[in-house]
Amino acid sequence: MIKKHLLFAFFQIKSTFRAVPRLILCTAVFAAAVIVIGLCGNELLSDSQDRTVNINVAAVIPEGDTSVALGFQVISSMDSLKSMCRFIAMDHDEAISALRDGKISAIIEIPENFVDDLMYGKNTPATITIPENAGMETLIFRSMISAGAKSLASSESGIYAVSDLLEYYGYHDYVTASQDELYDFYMKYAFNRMYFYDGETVSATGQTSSAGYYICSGIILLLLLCSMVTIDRFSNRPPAVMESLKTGGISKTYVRLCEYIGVVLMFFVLFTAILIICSHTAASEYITLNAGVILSLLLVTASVIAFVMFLCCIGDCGLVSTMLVFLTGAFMLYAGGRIVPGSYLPEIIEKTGNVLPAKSWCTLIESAFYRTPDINAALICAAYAVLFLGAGILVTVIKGRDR
Amino acid sequence: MSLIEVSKITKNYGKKQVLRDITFSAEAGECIGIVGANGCGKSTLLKILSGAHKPDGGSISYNNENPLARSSVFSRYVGYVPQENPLFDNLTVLDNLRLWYCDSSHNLKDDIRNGIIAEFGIDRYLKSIVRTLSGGMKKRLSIACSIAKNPEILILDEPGASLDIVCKEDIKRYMKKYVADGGSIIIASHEESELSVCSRMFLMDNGILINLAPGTALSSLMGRIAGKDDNND
Repeated sequence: MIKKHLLFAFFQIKSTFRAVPRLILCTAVFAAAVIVIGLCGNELLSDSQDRTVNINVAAVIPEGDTSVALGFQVISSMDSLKSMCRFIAMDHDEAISALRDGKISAIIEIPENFVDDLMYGKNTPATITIPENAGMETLIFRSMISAGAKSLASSESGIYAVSDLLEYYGYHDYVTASQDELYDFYMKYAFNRMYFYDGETVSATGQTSSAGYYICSGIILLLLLCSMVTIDRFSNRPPAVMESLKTGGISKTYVRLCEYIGVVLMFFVLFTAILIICSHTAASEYITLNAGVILSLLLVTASVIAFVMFLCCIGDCGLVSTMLVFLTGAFMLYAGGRIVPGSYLPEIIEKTGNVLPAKSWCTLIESAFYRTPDINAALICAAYAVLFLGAGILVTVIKGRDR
Repeated sequence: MSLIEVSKITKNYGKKQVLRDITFSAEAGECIGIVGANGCGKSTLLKILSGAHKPDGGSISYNNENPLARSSVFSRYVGYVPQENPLFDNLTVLDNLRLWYCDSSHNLKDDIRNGIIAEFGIDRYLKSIVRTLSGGMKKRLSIACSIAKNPEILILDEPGASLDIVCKEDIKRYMKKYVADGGSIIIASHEESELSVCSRMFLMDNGILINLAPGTALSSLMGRIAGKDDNND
């Protein structure tokens, strides 16, 4: 009886491998689609690196007031502002008209004698005008002004505190000099943010390069898409075949298990072959093969095919199963941040994606390619494989109880 | 003790009772024919006797062994040829045969040279994929696979349906040989020529098995068989 079971398993694998030519053809078609998706995603990431918020602000300066004009030139050249704001000198009417036309996001109006008042300690406010239905740029500008005012207030209070302290201890001669020194320090730090902040590059793709990120996502997407071609392998066999197997001592559970092993082996061999070819061609920069990669690929294949088999058991194969595999696969990859990086997704989608299987499939493949295989991801993949395989067999058994 | 003892077998599909207290027995070397309208329960009875389906009640005994308690008894005693094709369509003829011969005392090579496989002319198609074979050749192959283990009981469910006359004659000739060699056959059929091999006949009517008198012609049962096609086999 064991001999018959082994022979049956061998024939299952053999008949599965007969589908390889058809699968290679479909893989080529799907691979083209995956490459297009990868390129689009890569383009999105590259583009986003150069994206800046540009806020146009009208500066209404009193005519002939060179101090204020100079002040605006200084402010405009500050690092913290120049990457976001562009000050355009206008007169009042021009500025109002531009604000109405949506060409600018705000107006800063400096009153006459502003600098003189400032020098004599008189608090003369500058007027800031923003539109009634403010857009995102205006809101950002308002926040900037608020932050700037607070920052200025802090600096000023620091300078005044030092002056008061010197006065208190009788160092009257040092007051003016200390104020000049402190203004210099303040301006130096305000001009160059690097004194305050360490440079840190944050990438949406984590430690992996964009190309590597999309290669890993592409492998999973390709595996999911290609598995649709083999859905017929999991279709219910004709009742006569199942009855004949049953009378021969071969159960439905064993048949399902053999079908699963056959498809997993076929995909594993096919994808390993593709990776071997890629590692010897132009893609060798991103794809290196070692035992960790091979084992991870086997584990991921086992998990993905178990998932597909489960959906086939639910949907009785055919169109329903194909749609289920496609839609759930696409959603899992999207929510897992493998089509558009997670940082671009709504929080709820990102959180959902973190618990879906595609996340651990991609993490395992990515870690195997570019670091060392992530043991946690490997364990989760194995758990998903067992879970989906068990659930698929259970559905088969339950559906087989009809008669 | 009879080779086959069937007692009070019942089977329901939902609320519908398909088999009601089916009871009969058969000796070694007997050929039992079952006739009846489509959907009357013939196939269901044969599936239960082959172990493919479970009865809701009753008992079966093969040579005083209870197959319902130990399913391996079914595979040891019964060779079952269902109405539809039970073969693996995407495998070769030889692979199908190897699967069913692997735990048999029969030698596949011997049967290919001068056994049932040669007799049915299957030996010419050993390398062919099953789905490319004709209906007749598939049926011959099904029979060859079902008797690979040399079972004492052969269950045939309408073996000649939609086959040409040559194939039907081949099957009939083999049935005679099988019975002559001491095997028992239970066959459900509408074919007069296949039923001519039978030593006893039953009519399945509304889930009840009725013993027919020896020599009863099928034509005389037309009124009882006609008009019950509710496709429940």
